[in-house]
Amino acid sequence: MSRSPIAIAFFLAIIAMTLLITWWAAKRTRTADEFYTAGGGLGGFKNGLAIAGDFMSAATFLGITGLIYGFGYDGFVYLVSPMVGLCLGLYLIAEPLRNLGRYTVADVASIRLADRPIRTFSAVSSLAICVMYLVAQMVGAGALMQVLLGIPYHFSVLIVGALMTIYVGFGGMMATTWVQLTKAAILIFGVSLLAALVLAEFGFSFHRLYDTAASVHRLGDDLFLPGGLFSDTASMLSIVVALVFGLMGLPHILMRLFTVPNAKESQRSVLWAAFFIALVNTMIYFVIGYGAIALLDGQDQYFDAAGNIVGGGNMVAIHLSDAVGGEAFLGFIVAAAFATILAVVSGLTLAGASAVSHDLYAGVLRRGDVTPEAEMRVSRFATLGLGVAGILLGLVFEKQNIAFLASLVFAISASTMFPLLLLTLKWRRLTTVGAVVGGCVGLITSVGLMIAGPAIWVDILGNSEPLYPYANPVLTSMPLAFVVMVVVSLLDRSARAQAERDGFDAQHVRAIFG
Amino acid sequence: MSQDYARLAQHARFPELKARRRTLTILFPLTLGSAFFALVLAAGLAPEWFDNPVLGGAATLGTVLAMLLMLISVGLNAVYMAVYERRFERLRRQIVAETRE
Repeated sequence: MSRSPIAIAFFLAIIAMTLLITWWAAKRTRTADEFYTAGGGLGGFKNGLAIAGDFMSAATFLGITGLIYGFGYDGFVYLVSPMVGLCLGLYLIAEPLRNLGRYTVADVASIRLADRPIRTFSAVSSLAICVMYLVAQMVGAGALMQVLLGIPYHFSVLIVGALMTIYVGFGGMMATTWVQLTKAAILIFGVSLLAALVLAEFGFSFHRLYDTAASVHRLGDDLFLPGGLFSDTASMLSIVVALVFGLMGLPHILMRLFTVPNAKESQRSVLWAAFFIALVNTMIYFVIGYGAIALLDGQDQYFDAAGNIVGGGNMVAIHLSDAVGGEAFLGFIVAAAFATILAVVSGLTLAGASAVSHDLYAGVLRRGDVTPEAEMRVSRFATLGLGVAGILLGLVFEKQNIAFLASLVFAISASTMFPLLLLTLKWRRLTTVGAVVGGCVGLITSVGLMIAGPAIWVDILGNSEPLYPYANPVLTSMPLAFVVMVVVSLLDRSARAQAERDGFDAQHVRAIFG
Repeated sequence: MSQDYARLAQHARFPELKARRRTLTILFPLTLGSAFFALVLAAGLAPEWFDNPVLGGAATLGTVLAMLLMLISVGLNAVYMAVYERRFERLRRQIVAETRE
């Protein structure tokens, strides 16, 4: 689509800036604490902005704008659900997680549960989540850069993979944090300016904006009513449940809560993150999405011969930036989208590498008998491994519709990490056996039902009817994981189970006092 | 339980601190969560119900009420963060200080 010199210049500027950040961060990353948590000294505001940068992927900005452009009102679930997830996380998880943990979620769960099985399960779940999300982001990144900058797909995937490996491998959490901060600032500025330019086109009248949108959209006034995207309540609910509870189990988001000095700052981080995400989402929902409908209609350069938007629905926000701000602004928004991708993949790579080095290598293989230097070395190798895996899988999945992967990530997170974390923190009777068996059931059910659902069974495997009716399996897999964890824990009458229950009081006191 | 934590847990006001934390982790997530899911359910049901004037009216009313409940819940949460958490923090520090003495 665009080989605009301005877009290319912004793209190169982003790469140069992030590499400079990495060079600066690498000089300050010497200990394991600095590598995993940036030294644990970030303030709540900064960490909140970084969490927002970590969470808001290209799917948030480009994908949801496209959804609102196509289906109107129903896009709101994608925007509101993460904020609800963050608010719930604020009360349920932020404080105890920071007080009990060090680098990963497994640190928290293994305080009273058996170390090796819990770390193994947690690391496998974290890796599954990180790798799948990474592949979804890499494929999306390759396709986007191909359309946005005219860079061939394979080369795009290689660039993104190499950059994320460099950021994390050399700069650890410090570089990742600053890349996320930079991205969040660019994205917030870009989205705010886009919203302002759109509103200016309508004399800053929401009434005129919505009237125009309804008059040109195929749904008419139904654009503002539910039902455009979801055909039934269960489909909508499955997406909402996955987004709300899945967010509370995403390893790359949870890991950020260890980068602050105390529980108070971790709560502040989540509050600030919710604020920044709400700010961007509100502008996308109330202005940019409907603005795209109102302003792109009738402009032939943004549509192909069949009347479809050039580049697909994800390009709506990009076309809108061109329509209201011209080529320079288009270049900036393209750069913002690119920075968005880089920040998210860096967070995922760091979380995946930590699961390998801290949980699997240091915790399971070496049983804690390892020097911080050796652990960091393994983490860097794991980063390299994840980088190579991300690139290769990105190339393999090029032609696949990988939307199901992103959806699966949230389902797995809600069915494995979230129940494990919540019950560890809040339920005295949870035992290691219950946690691992329930978590495995959640993992297997979420993957199995996703395969049996319409996204894979029908769309990819070509069957006429899905074995499981909903695109997201979370409505079944998450409750099942909870039920199995509870039932197996209650049935576990071993001496070790009793000792684990007895350990709850000590964990509880520590969760409060830190 | 280590000795330090055991002493903290034996403080006379520790049960009060625990009760405050329980309010935090049960009341507010429940209010916010239930309001949000009520909104989603009401919104999800609405298209099918709109054909019937009575049910359509009920669905609309449900959506509006759920939105209001959610707004109230978010407001309550903001007030909570400003007031309640500060008191909790003060009590926590007091217990730590008195235990050290």
